[in-house]
Amino acid sequence: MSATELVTVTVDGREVHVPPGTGLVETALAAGVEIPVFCYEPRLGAAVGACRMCLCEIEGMPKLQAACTLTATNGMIVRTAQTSERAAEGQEATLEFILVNHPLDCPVCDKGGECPLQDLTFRWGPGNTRMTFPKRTFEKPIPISPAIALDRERCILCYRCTRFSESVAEDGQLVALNRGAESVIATFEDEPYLAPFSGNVIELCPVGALTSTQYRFEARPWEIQNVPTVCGLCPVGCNIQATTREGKVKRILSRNHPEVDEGWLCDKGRFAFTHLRARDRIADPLRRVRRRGFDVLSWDDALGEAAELLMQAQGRIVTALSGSETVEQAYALGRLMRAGLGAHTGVLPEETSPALDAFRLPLSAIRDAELEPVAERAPIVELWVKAARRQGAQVEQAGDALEGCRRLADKRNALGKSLRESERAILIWSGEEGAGGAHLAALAKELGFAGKPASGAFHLPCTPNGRGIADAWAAASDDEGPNPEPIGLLFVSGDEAAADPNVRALAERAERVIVNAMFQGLAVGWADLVLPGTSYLERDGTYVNLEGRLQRLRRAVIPPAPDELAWISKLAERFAVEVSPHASAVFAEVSERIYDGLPFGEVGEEAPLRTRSEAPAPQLPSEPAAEGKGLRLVRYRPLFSGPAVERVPELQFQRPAPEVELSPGDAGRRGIAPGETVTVTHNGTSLQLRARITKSLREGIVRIAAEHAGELGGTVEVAK
Amino acid sequence: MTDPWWISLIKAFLIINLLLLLFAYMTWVERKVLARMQLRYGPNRVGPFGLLQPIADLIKLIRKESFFPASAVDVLYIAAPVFSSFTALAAFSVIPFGPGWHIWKWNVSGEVANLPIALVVIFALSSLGIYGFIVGGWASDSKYALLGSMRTCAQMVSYEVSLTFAVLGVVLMGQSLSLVDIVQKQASTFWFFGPQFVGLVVFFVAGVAETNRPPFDLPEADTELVAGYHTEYSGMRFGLFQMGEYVNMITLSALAVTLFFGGWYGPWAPLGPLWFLLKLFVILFLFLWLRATLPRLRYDQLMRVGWKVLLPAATINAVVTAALVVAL
Amino acid sequence: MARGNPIDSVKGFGVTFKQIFKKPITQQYPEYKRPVYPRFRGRHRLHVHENGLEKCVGCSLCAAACPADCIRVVAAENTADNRVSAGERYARIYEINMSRCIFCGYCELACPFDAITLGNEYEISEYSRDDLIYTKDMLLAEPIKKVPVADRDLYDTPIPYYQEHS
Repeated sequence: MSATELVTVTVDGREVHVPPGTGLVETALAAGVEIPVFCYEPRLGAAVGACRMCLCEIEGMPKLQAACTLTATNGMIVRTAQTSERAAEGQEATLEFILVNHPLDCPVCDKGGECPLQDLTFRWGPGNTRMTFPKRTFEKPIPISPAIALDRERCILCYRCTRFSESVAEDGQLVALNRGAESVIATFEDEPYLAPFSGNVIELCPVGALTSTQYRFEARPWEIQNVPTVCGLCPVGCNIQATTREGKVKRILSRNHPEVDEGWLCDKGRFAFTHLRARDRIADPLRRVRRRGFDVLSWDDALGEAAELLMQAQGRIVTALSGSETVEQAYALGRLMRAGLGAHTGVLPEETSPALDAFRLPLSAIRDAELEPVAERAPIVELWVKAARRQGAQVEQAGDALEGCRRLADKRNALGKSLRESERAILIWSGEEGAGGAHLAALAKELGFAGKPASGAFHLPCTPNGRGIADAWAAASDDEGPNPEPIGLLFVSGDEAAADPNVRALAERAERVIVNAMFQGLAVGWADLVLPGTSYLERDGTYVNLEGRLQRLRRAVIPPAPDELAWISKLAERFAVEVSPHASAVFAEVSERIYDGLPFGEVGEEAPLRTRSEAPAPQLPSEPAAEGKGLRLVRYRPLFSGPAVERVPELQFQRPAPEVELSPGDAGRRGIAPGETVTVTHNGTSLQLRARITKSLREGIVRIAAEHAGELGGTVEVAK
Repeated sequence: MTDPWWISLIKAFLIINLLLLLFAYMTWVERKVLARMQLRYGPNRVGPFGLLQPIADLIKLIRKESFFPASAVDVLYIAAPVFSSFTALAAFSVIPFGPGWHIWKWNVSGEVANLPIALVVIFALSSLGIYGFIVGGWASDSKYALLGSMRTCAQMVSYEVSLTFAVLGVVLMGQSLSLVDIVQKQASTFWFFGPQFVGLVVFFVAGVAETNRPPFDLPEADTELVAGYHTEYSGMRFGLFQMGEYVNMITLSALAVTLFFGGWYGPWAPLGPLWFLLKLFVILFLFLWLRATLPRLRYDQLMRVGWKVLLPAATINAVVTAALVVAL
Repeated sequence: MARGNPIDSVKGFGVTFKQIFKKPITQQYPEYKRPVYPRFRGRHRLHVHENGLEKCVGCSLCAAACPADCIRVVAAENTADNRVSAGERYARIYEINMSRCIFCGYCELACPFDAITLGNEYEISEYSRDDLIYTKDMLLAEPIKKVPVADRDLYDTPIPYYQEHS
């Protein structure tokens, strides 16, 4: 950048050169001067200057100005509280006014110890109060949702929460009611704050007005330790800090990776950690004993039993992976099964493909794009898409993904043409049949994205680490083998696989089953041997997120059962395969083969995205044969589902209702009104669900959440 | 006139037991006297006036874990304290307690063994006793122990010389090396502490240094060298070392009494042992008094005193005594 | 090195000898217990209001101030049928590890509600280390052994606010 592009600003006598348009708060920071702020948060859009904390004197303006609302212009001379007495007086007065009605709650307030109001009052505030009247009181605390409590007495009306609700999450549920001195924060008609990103206001609020009920009175900041790790509940892989006290996870905060999550977390990732302490958590290995139920085994016995079962199966073993194992775990299992036992069949809930590596981009690129066809919705990606829309991008819904792909590839399609011309276009697809992004990659190649560095494509899988697992499993051995028939042993790894009806169907066909799961409710009825599992918060390892970014997980608490790598390595010893029980050593082996020898320690706190790599681009599949009559059922996994979420009481209000989504045309033809109970049948099984009309759904398709869909699949009939 | 062997045995038995009892209650006396000199009480909880304190200490020492350093030289490590206690106790066999008695139909002499070279035996034994300390420190295989034992033995060896030279004057005046004869001489003429005053002082100072008592206790003071040669000893082995030290002290006091203060000589002869004990206690009190009053000598000061002050004094004393004895 | 007069060393012997006949100045504990000052920092005590509600709110400021890190506070919410303290929250678990406490009194200074103070009791030996972790009921209770306290008028001691006001 040449010198003519920078402007000179003098802050407290120090000169700095910054690009024009930089906010004054950042400019002062560049000069080494701190300007205190409450309401200023650049991620929430334009600054409002509501709290008046950042007052400073600008040469040429008679009154004190709010620095957060101003940008740097050439020749500006700024004097902050450190050199200007008027500004210091102003800031002190601001704090005094804020504290006039602020209750003396510090000993009982959860924010005490990590409260910006406390810190700024110490540094810039008055030493004592002149308030001699009774302070304003409200009823407190008000539970605005089962997870969040609102305390109106403590609120300083900085409007960060309302601005988040309005312009980031775009759900408009938290608003400021009344005006002036009567302003309060509220939800519409005291309805609960029901939105997938509601938890972020807890981190945004600078005082203890919005607090988490899960963390209420749990710990003080000097009693806790923060462990930097990555959320493993969805494929985005938001960077989090797990706050632990006395060996238990107490809350999850964001670590703010600007390219992945920009500091926001969805409610699932934020509040679902209590599944670690669920009542039906398995801590010891269990063996099924006919008629009696289950026997608790010692680890030595369990491993002996497992080794016996594995040997009996004589290589006819199928491993069902759930998609939430770490790369190291998948590789270790792969070494045990493939190299030790010759069982090369692994089952994942979805396909993965390296095809999208050619179009890799960080998630933040979505915000900067100008054109995006979107097939479905997904957690944090939704926030990026909303941000893009606010910045003026054109966001299109393309309906059914595969159809959409074919249509866009067609050279005559108008949208396809604008995609080919645009420099910053992004394709986003989520759904079950993406073939791991291969179809999307084919489309991207068709549209000519290969040469445009700012254009890319994202496939949103349904497993957190599907790509990593598939690669690691493949890297475990170079041999191949046929699918075993009949299946001697089914090894189920992870709770999601244990809950999957397809895996259950496989288990019916297998002679024996070993399950590695965390919760009793899922595995225990039909397994021969149950080995207790661990959660993403209890493992050291790596995940590959949907961007293709390799991120490092850290163990936040010690699990009640040993880490999977420990017993996999012991089992592998019995079959003459060497697998280390330490994640770093296993990663070293994997990284030699697929990650170019990247050392474990360098995966890093804010992992970078690897550069694009060429991958063979597949062809788009041709039009499939028309399926049978009836409506095609799409089973989808909603955000708040899964064995972890089921065990968290605070999130039950976000769980999807038992509904079936129909397009208006289909509903109209069958005479179904919204909210009516309908019967959905398939092949003899039927379910009663409530009907919901979704306008954007294409005709001929119905959607049901996977946990309510039961045994249904394929084509269904819907009737009143 | 030598006693029948079984009388000597009984006498030896009696003397050993009395010595051990004296050693035990010497510790009590030391603690009490030192305390009183320091304006405090000393042990007064265990038994009336703390009289059972030595028993409590004994029980404690026996019950303590007698650890054995893995790299110590086994036999020597165990033998060292035994050896030093043995030589200390053995030196008492030639010290006369009384004039001799006629009990029933036997003549019982006043000492366990009457040797014409008693003094030489005593000094030989105490020189041998130094081996116990050196070997103990070296066999512990610990640097503090080794350093401590080196210092201890250097100190003891240096003061041994002055000790023997101081006694030379007494030998010249008593015309014999046998302790019995020396006592007889004092009984018939005068106690030797008068003319041999310099000798007495040198003997006493050298005796304090010989037994590693304050102010000459640098090699075993806690703040100086951890614990010197007995660092790696605990329990009863440590107890044996302490016994060796205290019995050494008692032996030297007994020797001082015998050589300079007339031994068992007192108003009524058959009560010889009583007078002996009284004089012994006075000398022992002097030992304690020294401990309470004087600060510790630094090692170089210690060696300087031993070689440059005491040895010349003792030599000159011996020469002058010799000249005077020949002249008179 | 200044050379002293050798006669002074001999005079030293006289001093030690004379001491034998003076009365020792030892105070025989436990028969005689010297009275402590009124502000002596001994065993901690948790206080209650006159109406029976505990003063301690479980804010953990004492744990933050403690230089030996020996206080453990886990807070819980006051419910309608179980109202323990006078605020929104109470200390469900309040433990002080007496084997780590240095009796500095910082916790007393830090407490915003005068809930914890250091009393005068100092005879708190136990036979096992686990018994030295004092729980909330132990701290709420009256001291078991009373120690003699010196007369307040002898010393220029202002009376702390909490002892006269509830």
